[in-house]
Amino acid sequence: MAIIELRDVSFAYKDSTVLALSHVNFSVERGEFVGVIGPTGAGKSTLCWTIVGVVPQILRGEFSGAVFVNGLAANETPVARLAQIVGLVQQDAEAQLLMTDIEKEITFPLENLCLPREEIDKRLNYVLDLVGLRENRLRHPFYLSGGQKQRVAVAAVLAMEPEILILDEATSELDPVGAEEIHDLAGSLKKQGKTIIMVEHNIDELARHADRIVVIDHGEILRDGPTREVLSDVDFLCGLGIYPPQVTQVAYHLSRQYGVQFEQFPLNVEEGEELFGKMLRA
Amino acid sequence: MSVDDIVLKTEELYYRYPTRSDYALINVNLDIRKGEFVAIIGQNGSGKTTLIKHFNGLLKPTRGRVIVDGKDTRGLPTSELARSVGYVFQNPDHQIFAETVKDEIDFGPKNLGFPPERIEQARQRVLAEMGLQGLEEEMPFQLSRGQRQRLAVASVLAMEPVILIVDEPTTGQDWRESISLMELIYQLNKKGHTCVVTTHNMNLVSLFARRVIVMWRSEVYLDGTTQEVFAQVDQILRAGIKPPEVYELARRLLPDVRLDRPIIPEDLAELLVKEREKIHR
Amino acid sequence: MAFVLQMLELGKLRSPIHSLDPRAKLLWWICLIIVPILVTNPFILLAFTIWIWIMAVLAKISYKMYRFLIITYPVMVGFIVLTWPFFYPATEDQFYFFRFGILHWSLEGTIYALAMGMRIVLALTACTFFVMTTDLMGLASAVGEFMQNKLRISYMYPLMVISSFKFLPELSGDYITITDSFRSRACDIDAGSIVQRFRKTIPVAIPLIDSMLRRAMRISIALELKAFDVDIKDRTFYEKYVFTWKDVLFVLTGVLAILFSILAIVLGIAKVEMYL
Repeated sequence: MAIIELRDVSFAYKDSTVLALSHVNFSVERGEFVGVIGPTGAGKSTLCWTIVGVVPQILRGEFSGAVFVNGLAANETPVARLAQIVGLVQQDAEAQLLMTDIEKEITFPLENLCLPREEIDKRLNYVLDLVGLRENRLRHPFYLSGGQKQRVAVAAVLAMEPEILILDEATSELDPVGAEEIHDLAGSLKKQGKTIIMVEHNIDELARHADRIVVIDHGEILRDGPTREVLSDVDFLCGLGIYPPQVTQVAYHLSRQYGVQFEQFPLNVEEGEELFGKMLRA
Repeated sequence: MSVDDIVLKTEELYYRYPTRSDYALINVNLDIRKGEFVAIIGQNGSGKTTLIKHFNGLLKPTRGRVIVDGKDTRGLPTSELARSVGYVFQNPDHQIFAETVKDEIDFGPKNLGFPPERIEQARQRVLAEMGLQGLEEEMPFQLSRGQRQRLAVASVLAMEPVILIVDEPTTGQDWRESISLMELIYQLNKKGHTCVVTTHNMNLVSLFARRVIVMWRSEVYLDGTTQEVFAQVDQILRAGIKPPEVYELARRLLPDVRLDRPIIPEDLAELLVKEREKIHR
Repeated sequence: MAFVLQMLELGKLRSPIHSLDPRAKLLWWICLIIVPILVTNPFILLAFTIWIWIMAVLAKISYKMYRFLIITYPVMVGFIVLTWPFFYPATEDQFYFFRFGILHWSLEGTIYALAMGMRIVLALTACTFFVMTTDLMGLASAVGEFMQNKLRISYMYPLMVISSFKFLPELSGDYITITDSFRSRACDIDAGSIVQRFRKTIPVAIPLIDSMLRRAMRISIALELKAFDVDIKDRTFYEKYVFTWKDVLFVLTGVLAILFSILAIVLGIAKVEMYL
């Protein structure tokens, strides 16, 4: 059974007539890594908030349809309860950290869950090593780089041991190195069996780890398929104002303008080197 | 080109923040000429924001000099240097305060004491340049994020600066919005404005900038034409930057080809086809 | 702002004093604030000050932090000694350095001013010592635990204190960026007459309030996602503080300081007037 399932979900924010989500049907299997792409204002954040119950429980409006997360109805189950199944990391690294040092940030949600002290201790040590911030554990977030702040946000979420991790444009304010750190972390979490949903503008990085890509615009799901299949449709993506990986674009131009035949389009530099190399030698 | 073309110059510029012991800028020597489109790139903390804050006097050199439009910045407050240098901040919401778009745009020119006709003219011009016509009476807070970003640029442009500095214009925007803003800045550049932009989006740099300055560990690490800089893949990776994929591919597949201009995927496809013809001949 | 952050970091160092219960240090600090209220004899005050300095060495506070006090002491005491004697009641039996109309400066006045200066020095030293050796956020959490478990007061209030220390440096960063952006548009916040400056605060306040509102909205979502409930509900307190005999001893030294002060009053040596 799918761990996340949205059935015909529509939502409009209070005082708005525009549908932020329009008849969305979407499901995610356990252990999948799903990339979500689309222009600004397409409804990507609303989708994430729907899964964690923030929409419609905190951000209110006109809601219809059904959302199930691990069998629980997300629009009725308390957000605090859902947070133990789905962790959400948001775009603004600064505003989602509430405490004065990393250790407090990570233990805060665990204290709220009434976990015994030994268990908190165990989880704290585990996630500190996982995100590589043991050295800095007593530092004020003010001193951390953007990438480090986002890693703290991820650690605080992971300490709650959710099965699903949602990263909503978590890298958009980071420099390329910071962004890569977060992508690699997400990739290694997938290997450990976590289900990952990642909303991203940086398609190059997303293509490295995602099994599946969902394209959203105007609150509707336009495409939902394997990463290579979706990203190979260069015309469609460019029409939406989305920039596919450059390697894929090179293959697209080669096949479109120069009649070069490819069995499949490459998604990263390594694949590109191999395919184009073959083409040169052929 | 003559020396008179230099609109911005730093001479042995060093800077140290008062609360820190290490230097944030070390021996920066740059000449930026009239009409250039320069991208300054580098990791967070590499010193790029510290550097551009010297260009309009928000920071003053600890050692060395910064000459803007013939004036040494040390003697002048930022509010005076604003006549020569327009500086657009990363987050438009940090500067927008007025009730209408019109008031927002007129704020800078009024502070500089422009006469009413000139304010009016400047407003009409920047509204057209930034694609904001017909929005004069709108409330800035009701505009979209992309429109607010353009409003921020417009309200700086209204002061008729010689040099335009834009810090991270594309944070939190999608590709289409980023392209349309960069396109507008590019048009200004073609009209003769000198533009300096910092960004993390290397694909945008490759599309628009003609010169790239890479900052690393408080120093200018690389400085050259866009294609020269991006072709040095190893060095640029060391500075914590990933060049656009096309340069990496060009280096691996076309090691003998010297790029004479910045390339985009279409160009690489063309180069690959030419190379194939060459091999087969 | 950097100074506030430095203070927060200092409280987390490791030393015999740092490892004491923050609540013990709070009680000790209250005792040491009472002493200069009871006593004005500059020699007794000096003795207490030296005692705190010796403990500061035990607490491994680096010289860099003393420097702040070393600069502050002479400035503070000097200012008091220079001004106070002018306001000291002029009676006939004093030794005057000079006397001209209502302007006068006597030896007695100077001694009295010195004593007043020493009171401030002791209070200041005690405060600085307390702040530098205590994890203030840990204290807030420990007080929060007491409030929630014993008084049934929601943890929301201590949390507000802790979060404000998280967000204040960031808000002050916002403020600097906003004033910089206005400066770049030829509006210098720090120039002009008071009326002009006041008028300029309005454009600066609007983006600042806007940024605070955006943050507030994000924070309320973040709190829910971190399973925090505003209503009083059981929660674990990870940082556990237990009052040990060391803590009791430490508080006792504070209590002894007060007892000594009271003894001094009984013996008649507590007041500076004995030298006048």
